[in-house]
Amino acid sequence: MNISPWSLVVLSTLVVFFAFTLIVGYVGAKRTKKGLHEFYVAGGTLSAITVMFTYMATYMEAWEFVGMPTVIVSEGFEWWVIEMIFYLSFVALFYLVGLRIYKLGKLHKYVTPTDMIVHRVGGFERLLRILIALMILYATIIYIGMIYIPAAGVLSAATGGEISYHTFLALYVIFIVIYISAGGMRAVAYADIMAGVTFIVAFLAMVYATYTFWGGFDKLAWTAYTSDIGSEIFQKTQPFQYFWTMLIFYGISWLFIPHLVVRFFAAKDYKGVIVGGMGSNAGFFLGAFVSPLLLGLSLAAYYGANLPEVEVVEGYVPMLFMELFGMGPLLVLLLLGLIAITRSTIDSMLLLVSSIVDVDLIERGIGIKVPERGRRLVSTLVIIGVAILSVIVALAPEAPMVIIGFELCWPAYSVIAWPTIIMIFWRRANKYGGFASYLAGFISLLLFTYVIWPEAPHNPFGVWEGTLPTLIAIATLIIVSLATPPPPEEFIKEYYGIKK
Amino acid sequence: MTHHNESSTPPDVDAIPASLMRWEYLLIAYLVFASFLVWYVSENLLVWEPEESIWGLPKPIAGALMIAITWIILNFLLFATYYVAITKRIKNTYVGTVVRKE
Repeated sequence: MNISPWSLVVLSTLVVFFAFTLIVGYVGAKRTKKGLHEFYVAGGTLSAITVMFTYMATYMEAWEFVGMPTVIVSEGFEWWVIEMIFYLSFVALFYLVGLRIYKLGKLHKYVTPTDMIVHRVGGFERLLRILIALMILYATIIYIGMIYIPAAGVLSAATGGEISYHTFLALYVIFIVIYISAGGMRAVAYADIMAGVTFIVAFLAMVYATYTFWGGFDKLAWTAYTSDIGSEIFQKTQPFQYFWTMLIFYGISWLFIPHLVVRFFAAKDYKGVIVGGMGSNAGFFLGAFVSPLLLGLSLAAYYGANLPEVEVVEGYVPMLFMELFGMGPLLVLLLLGLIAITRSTIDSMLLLVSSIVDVDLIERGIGIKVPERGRRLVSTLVIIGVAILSVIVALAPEAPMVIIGFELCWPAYSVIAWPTIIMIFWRRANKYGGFASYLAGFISLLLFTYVIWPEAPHNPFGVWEGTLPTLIAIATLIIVSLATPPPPEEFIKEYYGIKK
Repeated sequence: MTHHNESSTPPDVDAIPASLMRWEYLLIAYLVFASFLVWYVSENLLVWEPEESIWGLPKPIAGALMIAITWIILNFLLFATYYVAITKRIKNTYVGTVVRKE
C-alpha cells in the first residue's frame, strides 16, 4: 500500500501525541500514591487552576470543536442553538449544585458518583450499585463510541481518505487503552492541561485565519446565511417544546454528569469548584460558542450545498482546514488540538468506567474482594473491554455524533441526574423512592427508545428524548417516598453534615 | 466512603449550607426568564429572512448571540455572588468556632 508523505505526517502526529501523553501519564502514575481515593479522584487535592483546565478539557471536546460545526451544515443551525440553550440552565445552577456535591464529597470521601447516590438513598446498596453501574455503563459506552467517530473521522479526512476511517479507529482505540492503563486521575488531569493549551493555540489560529480569510465576522455570517444551503439550515424544524425541554431537562441533568462529579470530588477546596467553574464556563464561551459558530458558518460559507465527500460528516472540519491553510505545520497543529480534545474526554470516561466497575460492581456491588495488584489488572481489563465495546457505536454511524448524543446518550444521564439532584436537597426522599426512581427511569428509557417509539424523538409529544423517562423517575421518587416512611432523622443529620 | 468526622472537616465544607440559601431561590425566577428567551429565539429568530437583520447580523445568529451573552454574564455574576457568600460564611463559621472554644 502506498501512503503519501502527508498521510504519514498525519499518522505520525497521532503517534507522537500519544507517546507524549504516555510519558505524562507515566510520570503522573509514579507520583500517584496508593489507594482508591488517590487513584480515582487524586485524593481530593486538585487546585482551582487544575480543576478549571480539567473541566474545560472535559467539555471542550470533539463535541464542540468538530461535532457542532458539522451539525450546523448537516442537520441545521437549530441543533447548535439547542446547545447554547443548554448552557442557560447549566451555568445558572452550576455553583448551586456543584458546591453541594463538593461538600458531600468532602464529608464522606466519595470515590465514585455511585458512592454518593447509594449513600443518599440509604438502602438496597448492592442492588442499587449494580443498577447505577449498568446505567452509567450504558450511557458511557455510547458516549465513548460517539467520540471515536470524530477522532477517527477527522484523521482519515485529513489524509483525504488515504488511510481509512476504520484503520484510524483501530489505532486510536489501541493507543487509548495503553495510555489509560499507565496512569490515574492525576495523570489524566495533567494531560488535560496539555490538551487545553493545545486547544487554545489551535483555536487562536482558527480565529485569525477566519478573520483574514472572510474579512470579518459579520461578512462571514451573511455569506453563510445567503449561501445556497442557507435557506435549508437556518430554519427551525423542531417544535418549541423540544427547545424548552432541552433547557430544563437536558441542561440541568449535566450538573450530575458522572465525569464532572468526580472532578468536584477531586477539588481541593470550594475555590476549586467556583474558580474552576467560572474559568471553565468562560472557556466554554470560546469553545462552545465562538469556535463552533465560526467553524460552522465557515463550512456553510465555503462549501454551501456542495459539501465534500467524507466517510463520516465530522470529516468536514479537517477538509475545510486543508482548504484554508493547505497541508502544512498549522494544519498539523490543528490536528494535534483535535486529537488532544478527543483523547482527554475518552480517557477520563474510561477511567470513570474503570472506577465504577472496580469499586461499585466488583467490590461493593457483587462483593468480591480483590487484592490491590489484581485490582489494577481487573481495571485494565475492564477498560479494554469497554473501549472495544464502544467501537460498535462508531463502526458504521448512521447519524452525526451530536444527534447520537442528544437522542441516545444524554437521556440516560438525565434519568440518573434528576432524582439524584432532587435527593441532594429533598430530605424526605427515602430508600424506597430513591431505588424505585432509578429503576423506573431506566426501564422506561429503554422501553421508549427501543420498543414503544423506536423513531426519534422516542415520544409522541415532540419533547426531548430524555424528558418522559426523567419525568417518570421524578414522579416515582416523589410518590413512593411520600407513600412510605421518611428516612431516619439520625441518617439525615449525618448525611447532610448537620451539627447539633 | 467513610463517615463524617467533625474534627477533620475543613471550614469551607461547614460553610456551604446543605439547604438552599434564600437568595438562591431567585434562580427559579431566572429559569422563567430563560424559558421566555428560549421561546423568543426559537419562535421568532430561527427563520430564513435574508432582508431582515438584528445588530447587523442575520436573525438566527443574533438569537444565538443573545443566548450566549446571557449565560456568560450570568456566569461572572454568580461566581462573584458565590465567592462573596461562601467566603463570608467561612469567616462567620471560623469566628463562631473560636468564640465557642474560648
